[in-house]
Amino acid sequence: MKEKRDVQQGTLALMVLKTLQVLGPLHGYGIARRIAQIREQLLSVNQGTLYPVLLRLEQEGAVASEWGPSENNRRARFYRLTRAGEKLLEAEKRDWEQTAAIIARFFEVKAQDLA
Amino acid sequence: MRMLNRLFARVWNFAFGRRGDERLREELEGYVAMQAQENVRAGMTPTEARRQALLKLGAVEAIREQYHEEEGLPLLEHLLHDVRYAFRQLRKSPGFTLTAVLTLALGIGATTAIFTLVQQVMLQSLPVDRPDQLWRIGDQPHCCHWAGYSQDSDDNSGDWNLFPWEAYKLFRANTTGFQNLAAFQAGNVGLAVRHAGSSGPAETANGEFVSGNFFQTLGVSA
Repeated sequence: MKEKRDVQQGTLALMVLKTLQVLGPLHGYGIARRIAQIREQLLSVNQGTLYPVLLRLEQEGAVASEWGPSENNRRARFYRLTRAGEKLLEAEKRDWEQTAAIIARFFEVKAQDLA
Repeated sequence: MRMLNRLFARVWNFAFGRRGDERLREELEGYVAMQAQENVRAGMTPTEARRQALLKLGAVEAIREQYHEEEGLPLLEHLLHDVRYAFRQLRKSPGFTLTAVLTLALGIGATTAIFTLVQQVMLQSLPVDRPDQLWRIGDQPHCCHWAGYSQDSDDNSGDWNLFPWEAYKLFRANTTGFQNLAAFQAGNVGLAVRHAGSSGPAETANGEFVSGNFFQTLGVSA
């Protein structure tokens, strides 16, 4: 069984941005649910830690939020990606892809390749 | 830019004491309600559904703490709390406070006084053009305002610090090691001085005769 790990806040922020980009404006529960679906058992996080991350993203100007009615007629705060958020997501995505590619290549190297 | 935005928002919140406690509470409640509803749909009893939803949310206090730290300027806030706490403690024990304040006051006062003295006596150089090149001839501290001429008399025989005018002239004519040799009177004369045109009372001042090259030697203007 894989060990469950806490997701670093930065990774979580990136997942939030991507979720909002794919699904459009969404409330906190929706974001948490979506991230949990994709992550499955691999990583476990107290879902509530999402809210500080959302606040931080909002203060950075990457997301904006406002109150609105949810599906079951509750008041919920809806978050949406801003232009700055789009840009941030693109930049972060490139960074991650680069890092992942470098690490992947590094692990593929065999002894004879270096000889 | 992102960091700036964030800092600005934090400073704003801090300055106006804005706390999103209400907002967070509502958000968390919303989360639990929605998660519970889904749990019920999945077949749980309402009580169990809510319990499971709370479990999934995690430790609320920790979240609130984390949320609040994102909000304002935690460092400054903690500092303020500490200062306030310190003041409360000080007020509670006036004896200790008085002792501490007195100790500090005396310490600072004494240090300041000693430093002032040291600076004037040892550190501050003379207000002349090149103080490092200025020397006085003689082997006793008597000079300047000392009027008791005692050279070669009684127990001060061998002193070598007050000179007659003729000796000064001899020195000046034969001194090659120095650029200039100036002289001033041993002892001084009390003067009453009044500014030209002033009708106020005269002020006392010390005067003494100096050689013609005195100010030029020191590099100061009269």
